[in-house]
Amino acid sequence: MALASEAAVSFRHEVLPVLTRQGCNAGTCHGSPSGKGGFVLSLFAFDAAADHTVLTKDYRGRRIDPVDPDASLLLRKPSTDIAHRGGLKLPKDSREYRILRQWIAEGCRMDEPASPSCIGIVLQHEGPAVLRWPKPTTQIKVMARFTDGTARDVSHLAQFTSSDEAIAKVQPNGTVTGVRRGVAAVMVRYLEHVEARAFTFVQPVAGYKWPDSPAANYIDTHVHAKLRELQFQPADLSTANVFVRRVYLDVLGRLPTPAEQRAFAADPKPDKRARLIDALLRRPEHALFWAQKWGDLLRLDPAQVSASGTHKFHQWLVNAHAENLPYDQFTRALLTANGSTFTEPPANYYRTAKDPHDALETTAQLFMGSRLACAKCHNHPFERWTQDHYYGLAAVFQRVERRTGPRKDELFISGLGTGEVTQPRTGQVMQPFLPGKGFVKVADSADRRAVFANWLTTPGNPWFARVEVNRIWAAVMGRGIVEPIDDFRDSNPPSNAPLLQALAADFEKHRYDRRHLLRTILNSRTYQASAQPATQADAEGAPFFGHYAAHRLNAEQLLDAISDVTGVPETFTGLPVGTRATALPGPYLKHPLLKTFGMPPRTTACACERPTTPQLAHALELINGNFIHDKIVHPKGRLQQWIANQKTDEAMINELFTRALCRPPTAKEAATVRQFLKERPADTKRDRHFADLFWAVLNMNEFLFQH
Amino acid sequence: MRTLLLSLGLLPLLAFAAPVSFKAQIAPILRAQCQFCHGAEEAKGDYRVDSYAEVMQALEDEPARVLAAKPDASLFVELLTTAEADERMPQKADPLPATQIALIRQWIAEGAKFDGTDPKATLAEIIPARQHADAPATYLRALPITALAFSPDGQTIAVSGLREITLWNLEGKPIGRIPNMAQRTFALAWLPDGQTLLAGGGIPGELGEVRAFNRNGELRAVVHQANDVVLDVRLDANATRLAVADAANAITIYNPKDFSRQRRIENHSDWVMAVSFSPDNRYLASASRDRTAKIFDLKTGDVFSTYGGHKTPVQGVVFRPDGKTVFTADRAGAIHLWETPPDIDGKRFGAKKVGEIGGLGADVFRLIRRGNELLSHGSDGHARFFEASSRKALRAMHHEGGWVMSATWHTATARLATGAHDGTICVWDAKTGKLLKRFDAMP
Repeated sequence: MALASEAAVSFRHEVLPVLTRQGCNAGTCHGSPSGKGGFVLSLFAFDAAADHTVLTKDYRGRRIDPVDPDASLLLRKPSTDIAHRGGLKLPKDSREYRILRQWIAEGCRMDEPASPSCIGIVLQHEGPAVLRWPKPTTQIKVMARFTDGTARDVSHLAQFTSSDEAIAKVQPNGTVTGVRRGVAAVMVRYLEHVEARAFTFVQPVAGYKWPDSPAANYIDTHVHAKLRELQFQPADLSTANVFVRRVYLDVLGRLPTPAEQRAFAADPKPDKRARLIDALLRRPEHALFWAQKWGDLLRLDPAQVSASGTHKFHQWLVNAHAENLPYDQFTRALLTANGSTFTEPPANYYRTAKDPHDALETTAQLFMGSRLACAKCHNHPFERWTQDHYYGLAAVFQRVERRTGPRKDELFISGLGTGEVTQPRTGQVMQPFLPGKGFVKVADSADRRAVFANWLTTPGNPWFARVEVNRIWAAVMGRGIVEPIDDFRDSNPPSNAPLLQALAADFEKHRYDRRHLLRTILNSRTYQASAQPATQADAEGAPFFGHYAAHRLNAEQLLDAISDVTGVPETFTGLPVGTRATALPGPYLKHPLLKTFGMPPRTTACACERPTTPQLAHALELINGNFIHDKIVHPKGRLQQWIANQKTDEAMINELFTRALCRPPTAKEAATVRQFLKERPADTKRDRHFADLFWAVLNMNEFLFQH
Repeated sequence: MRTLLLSLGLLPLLAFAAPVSFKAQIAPILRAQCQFCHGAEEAKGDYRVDSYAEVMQALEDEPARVLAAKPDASLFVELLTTAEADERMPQKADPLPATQIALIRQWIAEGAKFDGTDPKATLAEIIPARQHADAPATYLRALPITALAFSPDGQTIAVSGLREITLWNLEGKPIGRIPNMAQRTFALAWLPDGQTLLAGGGIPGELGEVRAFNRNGELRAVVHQANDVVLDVRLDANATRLAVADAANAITIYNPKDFSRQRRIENHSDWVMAVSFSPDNRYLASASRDRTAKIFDLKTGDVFSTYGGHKTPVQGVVFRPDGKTVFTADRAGAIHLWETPPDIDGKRFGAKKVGEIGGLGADVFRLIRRGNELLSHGSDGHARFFEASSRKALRAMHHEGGWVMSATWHTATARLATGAHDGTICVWDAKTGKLLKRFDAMP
């Protein structure tokens, strides 16, 4: 490839990258489907021919002045010679301006079809990927490789983006500079080629000394190494009270009863935490609570798979968890399901995923942690996924047949239908695509889904094990090693790559045994750490798991916890008495608390359906809501029983704290409560005051949060 | 505030000797820098600057932005000079040059006077006609031929040039150049006496103009000014009215005798790309980038009907001889034929499609009709004749080399000329479709 100064400017390799680099064809500007101001470019220049026409001929060639290039609208607007709503994007003295100008001066030529095309980019930078103060900076160079075997420095044409501006900034020339300690990736785009490089930024802390925290297993080894590298202090081990509450909520979804708390406290053996974990993992509530997590992802909702389908599919999930069905078998059962949805509940997978596009997007999101929907209409903005890949994956699911059965709500699924997928932009018939392997030919007699499932579940697959271990990790740790958990891409790096790798390797080695993996995590000191950072500065270490990430109980846990503390079980229409919210088979959004606190409606396979941000409605429901009040004052509730049994003030206070917070009141709390009770007017009833006390405890952050 | 004081300090250095003229000095600044957000369309902060009256207008319960003789108390000046980036105008751009701010201050200090005739006239209309830069002596590269017009005697073709109109005979010989035209020309029309050429165009994104030139190349008048280019210029059958369609989303009707303005129709929400008078001269049909075509009653200026059947911008429009049905062309290779059924409850909004001519490639740029023959031309490189009554294809001419962006048709001599994106012009026998001459229209 010749340099721009020697030969004609290349439309594909210089002009289009400039438009991307300057943000012209971004989704918020002219790259949006309807463009801006009538000027429509393809997103990130994925359609060169269309862009050429738009620039040179659209609306009577108004954007180009072929005789006097500087008078072209294409240059005058972004250089704000004429008002440009997008602001100054192309200063007149910039190299980018000169490239566009020269292209116009040379006659707006389109590249010859036979000219070499770019096959990929390689990122180079000096020194290691760990950058330290006082000079936490490096320079990225972008080399593009072409079909004629040449390579060329395209750093001045590439677009650089930081995954986290609070950690690292990147200049348009590719200079990376740390802002504060942490991990961030720099994403580089040149044409449809995207590469990312993760950097660790280390800022020395004065007087830092590693406290030599003990490691319970390999998880701690990796977490400690990362904390040490970034000079964070690990938090202390959680207290027994905190641990018992945390592990019951994570494994069973519910609070431990006072008796369970006493049993744990009374156990004198040093391995009592490990034995409690083992015992909890065997309890039926564990399968129910964890099946519910998959119910969210698989969209078990009567509106989508009918009431009977929801129950059958739910039961299948519960059994799979109770039997600890290996995750590869679990996945294959879903992806290659055949037959009646009545007798083969996993076949409901293709009931919610109604067409090849839904099936591929759901599958990629669940099992590859990849959001592919963007690539349906254009190459993915942050990733290597192209439109060809999308339709190649659609071809995997194209032949899934859905026939209605003789019985109501019954559907027959088969993977041996007919049909081909055509890429809408190129018109090409697509073969099934296996990422990293390419497009494969599958015999008509074979089930394309099985070929895909085999590829997916083979050890060493870049996504399969990692996505699931990250999901399990996030479920108990409050945040993923990759976060968000269903957004795996080079430009969204794991906060601790060796840890993720080690977990995935362990998972593969143990034949995708999810219970083993969960047990390993729960036994780590990392999981059992206090939610209190060692120092205030260590709060920044949350992404590296220096302390436990406190998070609010989810809607179902919260409902069960309130029911348990008040002694008033909830009943759900159409479900057996005694069903707990954390065992519900489908969404139950008519319940005000479940709705307010974000039980997912299960309309998408996105983990983001469960909101984690606090909302005003939460506070209103807890402070003013009838629901809590009715539970507390319920005639058959715990409070009325205590009053009837003439339980002492002291005993009532103690049991309330134990049930809600898994600890007795502190001396200060006890004094405050006693003072409150003493000040009561003599003529009011005892239960009024204790109702207020219940209400106050149920509104404590310590109750609402897992910590 | 610091900037404000600073500019106060600079004032003596930048003061201008003569009184500042609103129309010649202030209006161009407002139009170039402010009107994009503070015009009739957007009116950010409920404040507009598209006419003197608007500039001086006070919002309810607020002092006027411009306080005559008090530049320091005027919010207008404050917002141009404040150091608060979130507040400073123009937003998301560099501050105005100090010389422009000084001009504005001086104009306010001198009483913020208006030196035009109609305070409500748009800025574009009051800004004095500019002298456009000279056309290049020779064209190094081909310029798309975006407008063509046969002279009334059929012997001369006026052609869009760069900052000029060029004149050619039918043999492809250059016979004249008319300078002092804006950068681009998108519409050309001769008055029937053959002595006056109307040229519509402008500078994309900046200026729209219709200029009237004498045949010898002298500028007779700047008929029309707008914020963006003029896209179509049409005379009615008796040459008693002149309709101008522009990328400022307006249709303006002028009297071609003195170029006085008769009516302004601002009904479309995007560019008006073409207009057509009905055979009885009672109605005007329009095609717009807002994906609609409309019919307006010329007596009142009201919308008579709206057709929304196109899925793309509408680019060409012409009435059928019956004066009731309308052909419109789009960017998806189709010409629709539609009509407006008799009114129900006095409303005429229900235009409906009654026919279609499809398969014309992508862009169909323009439609011309003479008698029962309809002509279209477009990005498929063809000019095509159809029978207007039956929509039957009659003949098609292939202009080799690219998009046919313009055409002109002289019925008396049966000549058709087409202009393409590659700068070539083809002259055809309109009756037989035979190519008579092809030439590069490049001086």
